Amino acid sequence: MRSNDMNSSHYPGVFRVQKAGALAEPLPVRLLLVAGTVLFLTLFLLLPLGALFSEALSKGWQEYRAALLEPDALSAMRLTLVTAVICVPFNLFFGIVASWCTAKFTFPGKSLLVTLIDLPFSVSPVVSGLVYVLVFGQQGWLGPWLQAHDIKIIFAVPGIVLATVFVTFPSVARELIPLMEAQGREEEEAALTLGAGGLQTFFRVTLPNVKWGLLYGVILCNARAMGEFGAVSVVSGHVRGATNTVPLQVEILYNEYNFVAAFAVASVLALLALVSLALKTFTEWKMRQLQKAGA
Amino acid sequence: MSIEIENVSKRFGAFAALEDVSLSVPSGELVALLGPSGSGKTTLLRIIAGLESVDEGKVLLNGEDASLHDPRHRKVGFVFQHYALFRHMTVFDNVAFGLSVKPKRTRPGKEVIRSKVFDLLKLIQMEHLWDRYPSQLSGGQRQRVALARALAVEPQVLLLDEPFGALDAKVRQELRRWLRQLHDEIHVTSVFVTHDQEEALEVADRIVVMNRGKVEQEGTPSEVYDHPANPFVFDFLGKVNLFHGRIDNGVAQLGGVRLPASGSSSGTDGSAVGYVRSHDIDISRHGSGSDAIAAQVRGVLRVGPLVRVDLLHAGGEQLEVDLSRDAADRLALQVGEQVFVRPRNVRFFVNDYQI
Amino acid sequence: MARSLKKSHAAGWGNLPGFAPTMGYTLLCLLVVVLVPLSTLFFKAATLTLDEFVGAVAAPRVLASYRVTFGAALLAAVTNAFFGVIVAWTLVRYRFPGRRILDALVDLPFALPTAVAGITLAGIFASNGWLGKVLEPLGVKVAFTPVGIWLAMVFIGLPFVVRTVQPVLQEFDREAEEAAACLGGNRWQICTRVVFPLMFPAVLTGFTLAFARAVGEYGSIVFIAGNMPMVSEITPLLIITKLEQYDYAGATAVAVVMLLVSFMLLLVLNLLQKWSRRYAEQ
Repeated sequence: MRSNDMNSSHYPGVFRVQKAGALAEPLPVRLLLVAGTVLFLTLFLLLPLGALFSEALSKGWQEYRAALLEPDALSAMRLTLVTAVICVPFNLFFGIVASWCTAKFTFPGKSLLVTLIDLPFSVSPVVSGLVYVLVFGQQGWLGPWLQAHDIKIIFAVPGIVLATVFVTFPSVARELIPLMEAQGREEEEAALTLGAGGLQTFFRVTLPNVKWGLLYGVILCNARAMGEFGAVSVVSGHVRGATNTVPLQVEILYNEYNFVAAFAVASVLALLALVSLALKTFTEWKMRQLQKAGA
Repeated sequence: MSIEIENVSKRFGAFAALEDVSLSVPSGELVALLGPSGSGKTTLLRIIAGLESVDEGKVLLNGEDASLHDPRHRKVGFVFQHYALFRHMTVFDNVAFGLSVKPKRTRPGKEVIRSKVFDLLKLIQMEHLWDRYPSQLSGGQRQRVALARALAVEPQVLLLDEPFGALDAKVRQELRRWLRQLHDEIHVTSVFVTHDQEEALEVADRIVVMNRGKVEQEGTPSEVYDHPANPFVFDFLGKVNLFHGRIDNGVAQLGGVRLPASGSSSGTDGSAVGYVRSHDIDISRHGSGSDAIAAQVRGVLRVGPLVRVDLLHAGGEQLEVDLSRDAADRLALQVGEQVFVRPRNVRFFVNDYQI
Repeated sequence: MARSLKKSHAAGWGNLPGFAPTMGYTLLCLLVVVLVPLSTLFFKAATLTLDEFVGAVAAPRVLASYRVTFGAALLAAVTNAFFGVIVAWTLVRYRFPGRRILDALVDLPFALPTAVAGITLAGIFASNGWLGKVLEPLGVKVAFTPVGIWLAMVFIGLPFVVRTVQPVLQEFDREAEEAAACLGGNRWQICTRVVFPLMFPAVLTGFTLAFARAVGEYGSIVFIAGNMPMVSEITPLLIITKLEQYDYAGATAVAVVMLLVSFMLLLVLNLLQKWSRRYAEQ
């Protein structure tokens, strides 16, 4: 649903016979390219999805249900939800604030700031987890102080939330900044000269213009928050029923050779991913509609 | 409300957008800021609106220092070059915006807003399009909505940035006349920015000609057109022909023709350049070297109501002369023909102005 | 877009409200969430002597893990660059049944939790899996070998090249191609001399993104890699192993190396971005 369908007449259907000129590849080349694409994407995308669900259901619905309703699985889902519920609003608010000051103003060091905001996406998740162990762990910076006050962060829920906040930190900001930059400042300036205050301007003029981009960022943030594995795995301590998120639960079940249960729990995450993709496709489509309308 | 600009300077990095600009706009006038791009006219407009701050100097609105108020409290209406309509709001909501964001105490009731918005939509002849979105409107319609939106809050000053810049020629003509009439009706102090001298001459009460961050001249349209203060203004406000010559004892010598140099900008003698508008040159087949300059016709082109004649005069310089169709038909000039030209209303400037 | 950028430049700083508080909050969050925690890595590493540090980051097992990680990541990025261009081209230029679904699914590796991808790939290529059953009799072992690492890296890097090249192709001015055709170019000449050069920076950017992602990847790889020291052990796993042995200093030292590599790649990406905009109108 991505490409600009308004131009679709420019591009040839593969199977439509048309004069092969300098503007289109010869039919065999076109067929080869399409076949290559379909094959590659089938092998890497459709096949894994199929295998995942077929494995999850290989022992029937009964087993599938049982695997999902198992207490440890339920507690893992609860923890994952809690993590997302804390992490998404935090990064949403940060994203809005950060994109306002970076996209609507000009200042020296702007591109450095944007790069730094983006930094957590470039750091290996394992390193991200390690960093929090070094700050809050027993041997870490704040370790002795935390221990003295009997506060547990690493190998406990707060550590999982913190590590997740870190790895999803740029999600909303990086979607909003380019969008708000592209929209320029004139509408906000117009609102200002019409007597609107800063917050009124933001909520009535800026926000409606970027709401789909915002939703898109939230979806990505949520998907990552619920699915994060590497960083969380370092700080969690893998206590069953207490500090296991859904991805960690999948790992444990898999390593215990409980494949059906592992794939069943994994299939919940996969469904979540598919829903995210559908929503994402929808918001992208919405944004293109708006862009077209505004053009 | 009157506007006073006092010694305002503004820099963007190394670029001086405005250098020590002073200006006063009396209450109720329609003033054009005219200049080429980069002359600082838009910056000046944005400074009046409070959208930019000044580095030095002061802006007084009704005698009061405007820096005390941010844009939302300045009571200025600003019409943006690309309209800046709120794309997610209907025409109605766009126009109503300024009223609906007022603090609760001063905000009019829903019905009052409604009737006020429809009055404005009537004024811009768009009441039947109240529920359209900006993307469904033509350029001229968007422009009028932007104007209505600015007027809805009853601004003391109306500022327009290149109001007709993005429109095609015909719509532009119509809207120009409409803006002039509108101003005659509501008499709000208005400043508009343009790079089109025709637009400025046609619409404005006063014209401020700007160049490189400075005011070159300020005056009524006929003042700046008929008595340009310097070569830049002369050149920017219309087509111009140059005659290089000398001034001796108040008499100018241009290619054999002697003229009284009354229009000289300086009383000193020496080499000078005569500036003549393209419609201030007569062409005839007869003449002598003492009252006319010999020239050769290089081309004759009918441009709408006028006929443009390209000539090369004896001094080796190109001339461009605009004749009425009648005059041109009477002369029936042929390309290659030798003729004589007589400049009228020559203005002398001692230094050659480089464009 | 060009207009608004130009506008904002011409308008300078502007006078919209709220710059100071939003900037303050942004910097505070950035400092607390990202910069301070990351800096602990360097402070911790600084407690090591140079010899200790070198000993930790250049031990044979660690060196082998670099070889496996960077080698597989490089191969995976090359694979992705090749197929990514084909996929992007096909999705933008041709219309065929199922195109929209495939297009939407390209982002699956972004959205699918890495652990899920990991066990799925391991399941498919295990000796009793859908593809393992076919490949193993042919003598091709994927699961629990470096080939598996490469495969997982191809999976997680797949969207990068496609999604960086796609917009370039979409916004690509068909008129430039038409002009080239009018000037007498044939299809091959037009592609190699007009289309590919304009696409190249995007391909390189996508390649670097895919490489960077693959180097740091953990979840989708550990299940299929086999994790044999010296053979199929990736660097992120080594960090975790060191942590589990309470070798914090060693883990930190290796993590510093990884982080520096990330910084370098980030720098490369920024330069690439500048370079790819060199023809953009100012």
